[in-house]
Order: sequence, then C-alpha cells, then structure tokens
Amino acid sequence: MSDGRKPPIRPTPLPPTPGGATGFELDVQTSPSRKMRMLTTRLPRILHAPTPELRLRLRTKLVVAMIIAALVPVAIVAALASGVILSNLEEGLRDDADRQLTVALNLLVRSVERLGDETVQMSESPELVVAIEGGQRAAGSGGTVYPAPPEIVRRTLDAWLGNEAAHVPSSRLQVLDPRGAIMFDRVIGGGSERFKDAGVLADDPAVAAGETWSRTVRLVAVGDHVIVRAVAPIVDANLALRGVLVLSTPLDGELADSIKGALSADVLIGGTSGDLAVTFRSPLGRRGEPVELAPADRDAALRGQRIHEELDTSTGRYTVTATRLLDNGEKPVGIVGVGVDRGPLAATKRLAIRSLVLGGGGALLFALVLALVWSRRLGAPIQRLHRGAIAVSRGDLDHRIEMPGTDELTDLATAFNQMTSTLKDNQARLAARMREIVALHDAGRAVSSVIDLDQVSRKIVDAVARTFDVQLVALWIGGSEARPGDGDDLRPSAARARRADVSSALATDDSLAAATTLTPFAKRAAAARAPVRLERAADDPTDGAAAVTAGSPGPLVALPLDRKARVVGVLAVSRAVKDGAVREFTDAEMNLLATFADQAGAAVENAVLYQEVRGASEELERKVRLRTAELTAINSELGRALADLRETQAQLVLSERMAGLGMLVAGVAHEINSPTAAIRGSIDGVAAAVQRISKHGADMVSRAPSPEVADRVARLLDAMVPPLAERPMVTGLVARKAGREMATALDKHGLDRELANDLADLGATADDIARLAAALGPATHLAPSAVGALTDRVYLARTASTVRTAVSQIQRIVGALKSYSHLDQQATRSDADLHEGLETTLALLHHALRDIVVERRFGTLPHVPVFVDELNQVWTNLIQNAQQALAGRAARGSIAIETTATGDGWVSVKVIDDGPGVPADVLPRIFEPFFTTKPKGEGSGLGLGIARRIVAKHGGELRCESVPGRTCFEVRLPISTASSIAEGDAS
Amino acid sequence: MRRAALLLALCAACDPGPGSLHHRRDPGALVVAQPSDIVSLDLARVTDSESIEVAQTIFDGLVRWRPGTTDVEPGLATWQVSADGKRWTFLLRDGVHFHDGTTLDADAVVFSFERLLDPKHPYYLGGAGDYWRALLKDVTTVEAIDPRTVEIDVARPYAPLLGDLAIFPIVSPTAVRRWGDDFQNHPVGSGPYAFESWSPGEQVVLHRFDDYWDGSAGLERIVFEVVGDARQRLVDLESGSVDLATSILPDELPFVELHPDLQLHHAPGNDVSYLAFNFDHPPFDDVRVRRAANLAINKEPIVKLAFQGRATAADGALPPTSWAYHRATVTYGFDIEAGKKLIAEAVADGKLDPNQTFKLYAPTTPRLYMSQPERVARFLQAGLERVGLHTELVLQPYQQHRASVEHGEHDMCVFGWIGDTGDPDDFLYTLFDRDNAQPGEAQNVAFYRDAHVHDLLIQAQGAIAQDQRADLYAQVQDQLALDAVWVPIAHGELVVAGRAELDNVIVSPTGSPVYQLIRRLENR
Repeated sequence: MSDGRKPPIRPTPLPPTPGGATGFELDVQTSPSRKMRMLTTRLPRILHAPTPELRLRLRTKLVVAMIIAALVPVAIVAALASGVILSNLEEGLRDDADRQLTVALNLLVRSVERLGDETVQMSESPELVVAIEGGQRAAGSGGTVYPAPPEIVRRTLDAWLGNEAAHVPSSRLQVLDPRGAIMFDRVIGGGSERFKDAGVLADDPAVAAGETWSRTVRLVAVGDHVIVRAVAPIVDANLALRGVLVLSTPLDGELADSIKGALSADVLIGGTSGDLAVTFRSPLGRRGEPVELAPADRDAALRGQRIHEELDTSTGRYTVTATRLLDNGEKPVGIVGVGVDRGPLAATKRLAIRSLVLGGGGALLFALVLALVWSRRLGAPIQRLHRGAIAVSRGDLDHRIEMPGTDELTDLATAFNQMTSTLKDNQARLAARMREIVALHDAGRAVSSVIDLDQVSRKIVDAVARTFDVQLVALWIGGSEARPGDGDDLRPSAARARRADVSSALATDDSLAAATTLTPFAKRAAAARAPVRLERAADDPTDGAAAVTAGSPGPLVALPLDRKARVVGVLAVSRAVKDGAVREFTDAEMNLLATFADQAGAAVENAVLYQEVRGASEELERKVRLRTAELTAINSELGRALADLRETQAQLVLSERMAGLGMLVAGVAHEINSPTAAIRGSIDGVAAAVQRISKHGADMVSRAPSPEVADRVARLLDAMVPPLAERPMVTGLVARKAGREMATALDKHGLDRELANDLADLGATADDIARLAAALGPATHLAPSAVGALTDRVYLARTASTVRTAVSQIQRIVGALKSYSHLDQQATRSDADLHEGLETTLALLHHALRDIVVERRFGTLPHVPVFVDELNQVWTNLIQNAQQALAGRAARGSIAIETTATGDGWVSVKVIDDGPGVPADVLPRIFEPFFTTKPKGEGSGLGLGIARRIVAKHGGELRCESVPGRTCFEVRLPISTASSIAEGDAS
Repeated sequence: MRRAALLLALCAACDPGPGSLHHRRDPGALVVAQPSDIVSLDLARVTDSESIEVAQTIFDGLVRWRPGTTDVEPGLATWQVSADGKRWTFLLRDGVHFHDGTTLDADAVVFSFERLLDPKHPYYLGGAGDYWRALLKDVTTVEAIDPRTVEIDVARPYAPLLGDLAIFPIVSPTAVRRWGDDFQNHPVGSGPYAFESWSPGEQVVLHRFDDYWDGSAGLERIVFEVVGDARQRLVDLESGSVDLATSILPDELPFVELHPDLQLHHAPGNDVSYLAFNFDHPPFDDVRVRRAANLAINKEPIVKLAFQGRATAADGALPPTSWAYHRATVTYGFDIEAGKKLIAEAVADGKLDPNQTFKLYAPTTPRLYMSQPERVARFLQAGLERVGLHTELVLQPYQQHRASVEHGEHDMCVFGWIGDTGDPDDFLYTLFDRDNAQPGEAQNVAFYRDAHVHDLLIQAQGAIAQDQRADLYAQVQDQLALDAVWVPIAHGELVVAGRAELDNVIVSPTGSPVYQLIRRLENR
C-alpha cells in the first residue's frame, strides 16, 4: 500500500479469515502483472462493474488453455493408439494361434492316419503270414496248419520286423493270434519306458474289430493319456484270419515335438483330464513342466469349442488355443492345443507404454514453456491497448499507443490510433455542423414566418449576416412581381454591409447602393445557374471594378436561388480583407451558403407565388361573373331549340306514320279498284246478254214445232246452266280439241256443226249434246237458238259469281282497314290474339306482297294484353321492311312469320326473310332514329325505331339477327299483364 | 513431430489390415465343393450327378422322396390312381409360387411335360430330353382338368411312374417363354433355392426362396464351387473355406473321420455290386453250381478289406433302404463244405467238368459302387477255388467290360448297378426280367429268363397299391434267392464330408445332401 496502490475491489465485505487467505489473496499472489491489476482496480466505473467472482487473469487462462490443448489430444491419442495397437496385437496373436492350431491338427491327424496306413501295409505284407507260421509257408487250400512253437514264431517275426521297421514310426507293435493272445510285442524306435502303457492286453476289445477283418485307427484314452491305436487283420490269400496287427503310440510330448517342427508355435497335448504335455523349452533346452488348463476352458474345449487362454509357466507366458480330440468322430478323448509365446508381445507393450509416457511428458513440458512465453508476449501489448482505451474513454483523444512490430497487435494499435484521430476530427466536425444547423434552423424559421417579399428578403440577409463573418450580404430578386425571369431583370431587394469604420454593426443604409453596383455580378451567377466564387474580387477582369466600388475587393461569392430550373434571385456574400490577409470561403461554408440559398429560394418563391395567387384569384372571380351571364343566355336559347326539336320529332313520327298510311292507302286503293273494275266490266256485258237471251227465247217459242218442245228445251237449259257455270273456262288447245269432239257429236245428232266452238267454249260435253238433241227431237233448226241462249245464260251466271267475289273482296278490305285502325276498340290495352293482328296486316299489305311467298308458321299463342293498333304498326313496319328487303330481286323471295309461346311467360313473333341481309356494320344502327339505307323518299328511317319503342312500351324487346339469306326480326312480349303494364308505363 | 508420429501410429492401428481370420466368409452361405462344373441347370436336360444335384434344389417334382430315402411322398401334388392303373390324377398344392412370382397351376405342369413329350411344342426339348422321354415312354397324355388338377394317362398300368416324377422338374412356363433355349442358364422352378448366378468353371450361386411352400431353407445361400482336385477339396474343407465336399478319395476318409473339425456323413447307396452267372453258359444253368458259388464266398472280409468298410454285405439285389426290400427266405451262409458237396453232386451228374476253368470277367476301372473291382475279383476267385470252381480273370477297362458282358461273353462277371429313380422296378425288372436279356444290349447279364418272375414283375408294374407291389417284389426276391441268380456282394455307402458345425445333414440315396434341411450350429 505504500506505493499508493489501492487494494483489490471487494464487492462485498468479507469477514476476515484467520489465515488472511481468501480467493482474492490468491489473485494477488498469482498475479505476475502489477500494472494490469492496477488498471482493473483503479478504473472500476469505466470498466464493467467489478465481478463478484474470482477473476482468473488472461495469462493464467492462456497458460491453462494451452496446456489442456496440448495434453488432451496427446492423452486421447495415446490412450486410443495404445488400446488399438495392443488389442490388435492381442487379436493378431489369437489369430496366429488359431492358424497354428489348424495346422497342428492337420499334422496330428496326418501322423495318426499314417500310423493306420503303416499298419494296413504291414498287415498286407505276404511275409507276415509266413512269419506267423514260424517261417513255414502256409499250406494251400485244404492243407492243415500246425501251430509252430512260439519262440520260432517270435524269431521269424523279429526277422520280418527287421526288414520292415525302417519306415515305421516310433510305436509299439503287437501281433495277436486269431484268438486274441499276444504272440509278439516289440517297441520300434524308442525307449520302452515311453510305450509302457501304450500296448494292448490280451483280449483287448480294441482288437475285436480286427477279428472281424476291420481296419481301424482309434484314439484311446488310457488314464490321463491318449494312445493312438491302429489295428489291422492279418489274412491269408483265402481271406482266412491269421492274426491281428496292432501299432500303438502315445500322444505325448515327443509326438508333439514332431509336430512342433512344422509349426512356429509350441504344442500342448493330453487326455480329457490331468495335465497337458508341452513342447515348451527352457532357455537351457529342458522341456517345460506339463500344464493345466482352467477347468472351464477344458470343459469348453471338450464340448468342441476353440478356447483361448493365457498361460504363465516357468518357461514363459503363452497364448494357448486348444480344442478337443475325438475318437471315431464321436467321443472326446483328449485335448490338443498350441501355445504362442507372449514374450515379444509383452516387450512391445512395455516399449509402447514407455514411449507414450515419455512423449506425454515431453508434450506437457513443451506446452508449459510455450504457454508462458506466449502469454507474456501477448499480455503486455494488450495492457497498453487497455490503457489507451481507458484514456480515450475519459476523453483524452490525443492519446497515442506506440507499438512496434508487424503482428496483429500492432495492426490493432494502428487501428486504435486511427480510430482516436478520426474520433477527434468527427467531434470537431460535429460541433461545426451543430452551429450551422442552429443557424439554418433560425434562418428557416425567420424566412418561413413571413410572406411579404420585402420582409423575406430582409430576413434572409439578416440571417446570413448573423451566421457568417461577412463584409456585405446582398439579395436580388428576379423580374417583375408576376413573373421572375432568369436573371435578366434582377433587382436588389435587400442588402446589409459592414461599415468600413464601424466593425461591429451592419447597416442597410449604403448597402443597397453597393448591391446595385454589383448587379452585373449577380446576373453573371444567375446566367451561370451555379455559384460564382472569386478569391479576390478586385482582380476579376469583368466585375473587379464594381466590386471595389461596392467596397468588396476581397473574397466574393454569388449563389443563384435556383427553383426548379428557374432562377428566382441571387444571394451574394463578400468578406473583408483584414490586415492584408484574405480569408476565403471554405467548402463547408459554401455548402452552408448553398443550403441558405436553397431555403432563401424557397422563401422567395413562396412570397412571389403568394403575390401571384392573390392577383389571380381576383381575376378569376371577375371572369366567373362574366361567364355566368353568358351561360344564362345560352341556356335559354337551348331551351327554345329543345322545344323546336321535340316538335320536329313529333312531326317526323307523324310523317312516318303518314308515309306508312300512304303506302297502305295505295295498296287499299288498288285492292278496291280491281274488284270495282271487274264489276264494271261485267255490268257492261250483262245488258247485251239479257237482250240476246230474250231474243233467243222468242226465237225458240216462235220456231218451235210445238209448245212442248220449247218448254222441254227451256227446262233442259235451266238444268244445264248451273253445272256449266261452275265448270272452269276452257281455252286454247283444250277448247280446240273439245271443239272437234263437239263437231263429231253434233254431226251424229244431225245438228249444225257450226255450234261446236260455242259449245266447246262453254265446256259442254258430248253427253250434253246428246241431251240437247233428245230435247229438240226433230226440231234441229232450234239448235242455234238453244245454244245461243245457253251461252248467254252461262255467261250471266258466271258474271254474277264474279261480281259476288269482287264485292266480298271489297268487304274484306274494308273490314281489315277497320280492324287495323282499331276503330272498333278503345285505345287501351286488351287481351288480343296476335295472329289476328298479323293476318290483318298481311291482308292490308296483300298487294305489296303479291310477288312474295308468305309462309305462316303459327304456333298456339295465348291472348296477350296489348295496344292492338300500336302493335299493328309494328307488324306493318317489320313486314314492310322485309318486303322492301326482298324487292327488286330476280327470284321470288319469301317471308316466314313464326309465332311461338316460349314457355317461360313470353311469346315470340319472328319475321324472317331470305333477303340479302343487313350488313354487319349496319346492324348495330338499324334501330337508330333516321337511320335508313333506303333511297330518299322510300323510308323515313324511323320505322324500326318506332317499332322498338312500341315493343318496349309493352315490356318486350325487339331484336334482329342477320346473315346473308336470313334476316330475322324477333318480337318478344310478356304474357303477364302485371310486368308488362308496369314496364310499359315506365317506358 | 511427436504428435504427428502419434497420429500416424493411430492411423496405422485403426487400419484393420488384410488376412484377419475373424472376418471369414458369410456364415449364411453354404459352400459346397464339387469335383466338376455343371453342364446345364435345366433338370430336364441333365444326366450328370453334379448338374442334377444343383438343379434338384431349384426344381420340385409333383412328388418327392422322404429325406434320406427313396420313399415317395406328396410334393407339389397329392395323387390318386384309377382302378385300372392307367390314369393318374394329381391334385396340386395351393399357393405354390415359382421363383419368378408366377403361380404354379395345372397349365404349368402340362407345359413342363409337353416341352419334353410333344414334338410340336414351341419349346420342345428335342434330343436333350431323350433320357426323360425314355423314362416316361408310357405316358400318353397329360391334361389339365382344372387349375389345380392334372391327369396323366399311361398306356399301361405303370407304378414306377411316381418314382420317376419325384425328380421330374416342373418349370415356370413364363420363364421358359422368356428365355427359350437359354432357360438352362436362367432356371426358374419352385424349389427351396432360387438360381442367382453361374460363373462357368467357377461357381454356381443359389439363394434361399423365402416363399417356399414347405418352409424356407436353413441357410441363405448355397455356393457350389468347382474344385477339381480331390485333395484340394479336403484342404478347403479343413481350412473352413468350404462347408461340404463330395467325392472324397477313399484313402482320405480316415483323415476326415479322425479330424475333430470335420464330419463324415453316410448314406446307404442306392446301388448293388454282384457276381452274375451266365445262364446261357452251362454249367451255370444248374442251380447247384450257382448255390455252391454262393456258399463259397465270405462277403464280410471282402466288404471290410476291398471296400474300405464303406459298404454293407448284400443278400439280394435291392438295398435294405428300399421299401420293397425283403430278406429272402432262402439265404446262403459261408459254408465251404456244403458248397463242395453241391459241386460234387453236379460233377457226379456230369453237369460239371471238375477240371474246367471258367472265365470270370471284371472291370479294372473303379466304380462308385466298387472302388477296387480287381481286388474283389481276386477275393471271389479265391473263394470259388475253395469249392472247386476254377476260374481265370478277364480284366478290362469298364467300357470294354461292359460291352463284353452285355454280349454274354462271360461265364461269370463282376458288375454293379446304380438305381436311377429309387423304384424297386428299376432294380428288379431291369436286372432280372427276360425283356432285358437280349445279348448285345442286356442289362440282365445273367440272362435269367424266368417266366414266373417276368409275370410277377409286370404285375408289380401294373399294381398301384404299394403293399401289393411289395408283396409281389417279395415273391420275386424269394424266387431269385432260390434260383441263386447272383452272388450279391455289397451295397455301397455314400459319403459326404462336411464341417463339424453343420447340423442335420441328411444324405439322400442319390448321394446328395438334402440341402434345405442343413443348419449351421451357432456356438462353433
């Protein structure tokens, strides 16, 4: 504490501990850097609030992290590697043992099998039978064999064995006679001690197989040992059994030695219980002690599994793999195994572990040193940076960090220094900017609070004068009040200058004069539409003189007040030359001036616009008054025109109707004319005919031979006239042909053949002539009178009929006219049969339709409530239209009238013609009033328009479809009264 | 540096490396070593034992043998036969599928027969089917009655048909139509295993057919590998790269028996070896001479010494495994004295010249039913000599030997027979009926022409009920023993060597294991 340091911050007061040792003590003690600690303790408010926990310092952390980083991978890798390597080695050892065991088994089985082969071969040797007989050749078939004395047999067998033994493996050889008694017993190639227990006893069951000629090789368990026993029968040429040959050898260490030679491992062999003989050798070559397997392993091996076990013996450590030996493929009799020396593996293990430990230690040491060095090298610059950061945060922006070197920390220091200086610049700029913004704000508020142009100008000039250190401020406003131009008509509006002798005040007194002097310079800026900036106005070739006159020889700036491509004014500012020093306008000042100019422009424009708007609104009011008067006059004119128009329209409609009526009248006149002419024509002939008849009658009476004859003829004539009158008139060829027949018939009855033509014209027949002749009897001279009377009476009858017809025709026309004009009904809506109206119309138009085939396709229609006469005009218009469309064509046209009840409350009447059709461009216009394609005078162009209006009045519709060859006008009318009336009234 | 070294060591340690014993081949596969490659996989075309063995696991017949026997039991169908024995009706099992997913129906059965029998069939087998056509020569029509029923009409009552049908393959018509002649390389049947691949000269791979109607097989795959060298087959077996090996050398059998990891699987063979007398060569028309020869032969040592113990002494033509086997009421033991007496009688009657030497024909080539024929012949010669029948051996390679005995050149001959179909008719009619005693093409090389036996054999062919047939065949066997037509010698034994961890290896009388039954014991 004596050096002035404060103790570490203790966030909570700790009770003093007896030893004085706390977590913070540890911090102090382990701290290698005093400066660092000083910083963290002295600047608690600048840094984060002191942490309440134990603070491990960066260097410690770095050291710990680097050690962990170095050691953990090493430890993991070492553990993994050693584990994997060792387990692989272990596995490899087992695999090797497995392979060795497979080979060992093969060798063992082969050597066992070889013993059997040897036994079979020896037993088949012909000399053996001879030897058994004691050297005597066995007698041939049927011969008697006398057993030779045993010594002789043994001698001969020894002699035989002497020849054979060379290739027989070490074993005990026994020969038994067919009854099972041992005749011969020798050990081949070895000491008798080894084979002591190997041999068979007399009547051994193993031999019984041989007695049934079987050759066997068996593994026999004898006590703890396993004996290989090969048995083969000895037979003579007749297959008679002469003995049994047995070769036995124990599966012991010596046999195992013979197998070991072909292996790279040791062999273990033994019975189902007890120790296993081994081929292990001590360094001095002494055979190892027999070993014992763990009971569990032994049992597993005897069950047929391959077991693995580690054995520790006096001669070394071995990995043992073992399995069982089977007798006859069935019964386990022993165990065979191989042992692989674990010595090399153990050495490898030791080496690996030692290397790993050494490596790990080295890595730890290396990491520690590296960590210390680097933590020191990293710590110091960080402290310097830290100090710098604190200095800056306290506001010392002139603090610089010195950091030599080229690494990232140097970069960091450089960046820090740059950051500090930038911060400083920015702070200065920020302050200047603040001032400007305040000035602008003031200026803005000042200029926008007034709308009078002069006042605005003054405010602008004042604001600029306040904000900038200037000699002269002047503002020009462009042009007339109504339309400011582009600088041609600039006039000084306001100005303020610093008097040469009084430095503090600015006055307007002389300044306007100065501004007027500078007007050319202002125009220059307005023309350029960009700020004009003179460093020394006095030196300027164009405006230098004016500037000097205006008292502004120094820096001079003019800015156009540019508003939407229109210069509304110019702002000029000059600065005094103080003591010969020229202080130019800086870029920042220019920017600010530009902003001023913008605002000033806006204010000036607003003021100008305001003046303009006020003027314009007065003008507008005046104009509106004038226009209203004009409109009133025009309106009354239009009213009159409309009335005229309505009148004209009514006249037109009437004239259309009259035109239709005229046509109708023409037709009706013709219709009435024709029957009238017919009647008149008939009447003329009647009088003459009556005269002739009375003459003929008188003639006949006078010339008749008797009144009876005259009476008879008269009755005959009475009877003949009516049928003849009804017969059609015959003419031409038919008449001539009939004339010839008549002549023949007249000749036949002795009548005058001159009468033939008259009779033929009457349409009389030969029969009539016969009847006439009969009535006349011999008074043939009366024939001409009779025929004359007949002819005239028939003529009279026919004329009467003609007149009747004509009269009824006239009656019909008159009726139709009456019906058409609906004279017999009131002009109100009434239920009507549409067919009746159609028929009436067709009748009236009969004359016009004479060259046209009219087809009626009438359906069954209900009565429809209509204004009958109005609707008749519709039919007239449509049919007339169709007729006119067909007129002038070479071929006969046809009109079809089709009526249907549509079933949904409507009836439909179609008028269809096969005329050329309405062109597509005309079709939309056909219902327009006055639209017509007919030549002038033929139609008013109102017909279809009127028809549509009438139909609409009925609540129906009129439509037209047209293609060349088929034009169809369809009238649809509602059956329901309610809707049609309502709609009709509405229309 | 140290870290880098450690990293390297780690990488090296992680590499499993080659040749580790623990990563042996797929335990789900059964690898079988065969001495030669197959010829074809179409069971209707092949006659060699390797091809038959492979193809039989792919195809099923209408009926099948009970495992390990030649007894016929229902396979793809059950059957009925008409009273006159001329119409067989097969009722097909439901829900049987071929390996290609198509369903087995009566049309497929008819198709399988017609491609063999009908020369107008689009997939007619032609010459390749001669063997089967000979077997099925009596079949006149095969007809589908409904989708599940097939009727087979035969020209005459013929009971052995069933035995024939046990190995006649029912094929997938869809597959035959698709592959045509190449069907033999893409066989599709309904058997327990389906064809997967065939690399000629190397291996055939079959995989388990999971939809098999009789429960799926034990192991996933069978790989038939061609290992030409007999010793190599044994080495492969010992190393464990092969599970089963056939045609092991007789000399090597003791090794297999002794080896604790290996096991020898036996089955009584469907064969017989015998000494036949030529009835056309007196004095062998005299029953006393033939009986004397029977009494002179001690079969036990012959079987033990000349057959390596891999056979059982025969007392008749039929193997004891045949359902028709009957131990004859008359048997001949080994009795030299009785034999001598009979010879003496024959000599006394002037039937036999005691000094005459007879020709005993024997082959020199080992046969499946007799590995050391010459040795057997010498043992026989020694036996005959002891009752006074002098013989000289005529030893020839098999083909010449066969031609000689078929022409009847021999007085006596050593010969054998391997059954084709497992039906007793295949032994008794073929080897003893007078129909087959035509010199030049005789199968009945004793030239035994007994009319009564002929009647019985024909009757047995026509009889349908098995017990009735068994009764007839028993009469035949009694008569043959009474007439001492042969000296029956031995019935061979079939062996297959396998790994000890295989379970349920049942060898059928044809010599091949019933593959679908084989399992692998887990704890080995």
